[in-house]
Amino acid sequence: MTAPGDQRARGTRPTDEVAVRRATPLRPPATDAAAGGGAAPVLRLSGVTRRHAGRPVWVPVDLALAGGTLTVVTGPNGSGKTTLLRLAAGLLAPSSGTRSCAGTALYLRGGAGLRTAQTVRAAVTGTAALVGRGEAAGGALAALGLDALADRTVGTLSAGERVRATLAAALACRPAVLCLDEPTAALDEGALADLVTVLDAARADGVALLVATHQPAVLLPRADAQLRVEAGRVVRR
Amino acid sequence: MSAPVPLLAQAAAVLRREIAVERAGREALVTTAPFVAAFVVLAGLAFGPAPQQLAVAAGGTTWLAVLVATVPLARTVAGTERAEDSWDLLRGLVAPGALFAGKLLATWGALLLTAALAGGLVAVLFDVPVLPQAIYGGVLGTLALAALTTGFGVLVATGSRRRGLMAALLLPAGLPALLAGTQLSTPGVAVLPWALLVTVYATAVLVAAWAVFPVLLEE
Repeated sequence: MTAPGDQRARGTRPTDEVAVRRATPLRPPATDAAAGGGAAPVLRLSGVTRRHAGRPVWVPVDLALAGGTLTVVTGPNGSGKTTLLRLAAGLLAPSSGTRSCAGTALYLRGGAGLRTAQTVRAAVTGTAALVGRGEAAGGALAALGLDALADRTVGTLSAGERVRATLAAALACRPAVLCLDEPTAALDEGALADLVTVLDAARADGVALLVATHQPAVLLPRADAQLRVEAGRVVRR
Repeated sequence: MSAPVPLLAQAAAVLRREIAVERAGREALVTTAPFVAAFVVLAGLAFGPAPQQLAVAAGGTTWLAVLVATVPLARTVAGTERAEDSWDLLRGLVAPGALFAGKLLATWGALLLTAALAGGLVAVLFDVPVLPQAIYGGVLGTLALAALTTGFGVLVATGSRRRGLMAALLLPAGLPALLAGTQLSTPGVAVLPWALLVTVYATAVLVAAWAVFPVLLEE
């Protein structure tokens, strides 16, 4: 699970090492620090592998993400980007190696994650309440410019609006790590610009971002690191 | 980092979320209530109109309706969440124990309402009394079925298993609840053995579902 702590397995044998550099000094989080205040990684994968049906999906990978950083994951379809993100989020257990996370790691696919029948306000509040942060929902809605949409049902939102609503819910929970799988896929230029603004704000709050995308152009200029993934391994950049 | 939320508080938050989602979408209501109502009416037509025959069939009709209603309800545990991509966010935020407890309580509530609806319709349409022991059987039998529904709902939704497996898994596994519930709803039947059966069955299913639930979450 994604709860704070370690996921351990036998046979640690790291081969690919990715050191995440910090491009900008870490700004201390506004309140309680989900990402920690120092340079220590909030998420670390050590020699993590993943096998599926006896077949290796990921060779041993080492990955360390510091709070307040953006790491962009690129690679062709089927290269293992989603598996890497789900391993990082703790949704997939490593077949070997260890995972440690200082806080909550969340995974969002395509920017979705809220129940479509609920209003934006109810969905964001209900999600934040799961970790005792229901009172943070109002601030998150305002920060992401969702006040005008708060009483609409999630299912009626455009793709870009839905991404923002889901990010509002996730950020209200104050995660240490946010793994976004193709959040840019259905977005037009305006929605992309909104997404970039939201991601910048999340970084400023100390959240470590791991974003897989086929459209890296808009994110790479502000990224602290890029991981090129091919055939279940990281190609260093 | 925020302090961890206690398990019971997090389970209560999951339950509140389930209730809010149901109030907004009414998925469980529209998938079970019309089905249960139609089932009871059709059973009355099939088994009637002789009062003696209806009295004999009353308990079984109620519990068959409840047992079969677990199949569409199971989809609301995790299947719909996965279809809407909200399952991963939920898993990321909630500990397995709290997720199980919250989903279990929501499913139990839905099954209690289903049993009340089916039992009420049967009592009116079949003109039979509601026995005190039937309420005991209803509470524990639906708890056991809720635990099964929660477990199998996650198993089928998170694995590569096909949704069609749900009925094949749930209905045989719920047989003890069907038998005990039916007997406890029937006048003139010895109460103790069936009350004991439903008590032991509910306890065993609850403990087993709680124990295996974290494993079921793994992909």
